[in-house]
Amino acid sequence: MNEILLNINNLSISSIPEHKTLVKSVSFSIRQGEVFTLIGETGCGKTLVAQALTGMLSKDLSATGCIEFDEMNLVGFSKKQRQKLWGKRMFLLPQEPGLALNPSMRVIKQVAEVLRYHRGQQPKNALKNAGALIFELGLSASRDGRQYPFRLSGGMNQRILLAIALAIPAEFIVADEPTKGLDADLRNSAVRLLQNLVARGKTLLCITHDLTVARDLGGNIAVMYGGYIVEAGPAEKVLDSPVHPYTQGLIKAAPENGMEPIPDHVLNSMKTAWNTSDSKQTGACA
Amino acid sequence: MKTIAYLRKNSRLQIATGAFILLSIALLSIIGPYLFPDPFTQNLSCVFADPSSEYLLGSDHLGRSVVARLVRGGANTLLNTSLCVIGSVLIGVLLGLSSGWYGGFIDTAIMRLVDITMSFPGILLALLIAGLVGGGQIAVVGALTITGWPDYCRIARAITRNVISRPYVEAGVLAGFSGQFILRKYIFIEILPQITVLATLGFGRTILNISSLGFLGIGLAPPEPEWGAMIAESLPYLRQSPYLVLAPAAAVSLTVFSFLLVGQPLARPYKSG
Repeated sequence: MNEILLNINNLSISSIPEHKTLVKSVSFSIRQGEVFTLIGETGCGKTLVAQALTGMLSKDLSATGCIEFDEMNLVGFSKKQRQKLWGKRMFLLPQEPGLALNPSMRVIKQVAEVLRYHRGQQPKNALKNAGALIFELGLSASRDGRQYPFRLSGGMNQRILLAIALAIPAEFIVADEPTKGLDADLRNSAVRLLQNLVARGKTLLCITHDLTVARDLGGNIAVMYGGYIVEAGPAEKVLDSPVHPYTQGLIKAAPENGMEPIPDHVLNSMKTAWNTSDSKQTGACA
Repeated sequence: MKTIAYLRKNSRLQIATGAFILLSIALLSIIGPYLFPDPFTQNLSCVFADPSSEYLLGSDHLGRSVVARLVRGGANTLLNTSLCVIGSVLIGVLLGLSSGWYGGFIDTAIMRLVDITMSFPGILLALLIAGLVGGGQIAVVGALTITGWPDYCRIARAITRNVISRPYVEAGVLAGFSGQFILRKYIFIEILPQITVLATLGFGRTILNISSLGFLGIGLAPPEPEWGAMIAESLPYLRQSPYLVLAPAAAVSLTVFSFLLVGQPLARPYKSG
């Protein structure tokens, strides 16, 4: 078994002005070279966890608890301390590929910049290596690489982002909704690209609302609802034989499983349970 | 430049005309002093001469060659204008970038400085400085630079604020790029075209200001010619030989007009957007 790279313990995130807890005592850990998928519906707090992790939490939110990354507690890290991690130890794969690339730079140069900046390669070498990376991901360095991002499709831009993720020395990659806005075909190729990252020894935390992505990526998953992790474990186990009624409902609600709405009594029973255990507030995102 | 592609066909012709005139003026200012030497030699036996092969544009009240003074004055005026505009752009972009990038107190401080500077007319400040240090190139260039940078600063800041909020800048920050790297590769590139356009228009305005100051007698010390100063010198003899005034006046008008010819169509895409 590999070493634990990230250990989140009792992480809570609350908004300061309203004293509302949005993420409640979330705990999970990721081992080096593993995939971990955080799954849940919109507004359940999964992106907040990623933001707390990368340090992009907005100013009116505060995180308490422990985010242990390679034996450093990231909660309470200053921006300067964070900057030392960004790109070098952890990398956030941005949500929308079309918007996440510099529009005024040819894409191959953007990959090369990372190699130059983080790996100290000479301009010529960096460009050559960037071309090789782009080629490995199924694009042509001479044709596609010379384009600006707006000339490429969403899927191609995503490949460029993946090439950047491969070029960057960071071993821990957070992918926030990597399949957002992609059709089924592109989604599958995006999943393959993410698996490619893991195959090269990167550790991946994937945040998604797509059960198919979670299943295809494998590894461990955690299901979030209303700020809580309701169920966690190996992907197949959780998705094939869910124990928690919300997970069961979520799987049945997927389009390929009949799109059956999650029964109200399941959601209500969870809310009542939380209200009694935590009298201050109701489920923030319910 | 990227903007050229957006221009209508007739504006391209307009820009070409303006650029052609400007290049001719610049060329004339550079090689003119070799073609028409001696802007200082006085020939009191030949004052107010009509244009001839010896005095291409005649001679002034001290018998100096007008055409030699005109090209020498053009070189002086254009040099001082360039210094002002380059200085203003440098200060403006630098302060605008830091204002937009750091935000908070630095932003507030710089923006209030911009407000204060903008409320103060450049010519007035130049008069003030000239009164203190006694005119000369430094006073004029210094004063117009000090009062010229706020426009560039505001534009640079506005674009910086805009670009910073775009996802790819955040992505760049999270990819571990330093602030300096992002300012250079992500933000400066966006600022450059607009600043270039603004500077083109700024050139015209600065030439007018410098000529006005020259006309008022602040600027280069007397024997050294300058378009504004030439107008002022020849004004008493307007009835006798009007071209003494008209020649430098036409030079100023033509130059400013050409800058407008180039600058206005370039600025159009930004105005409508």
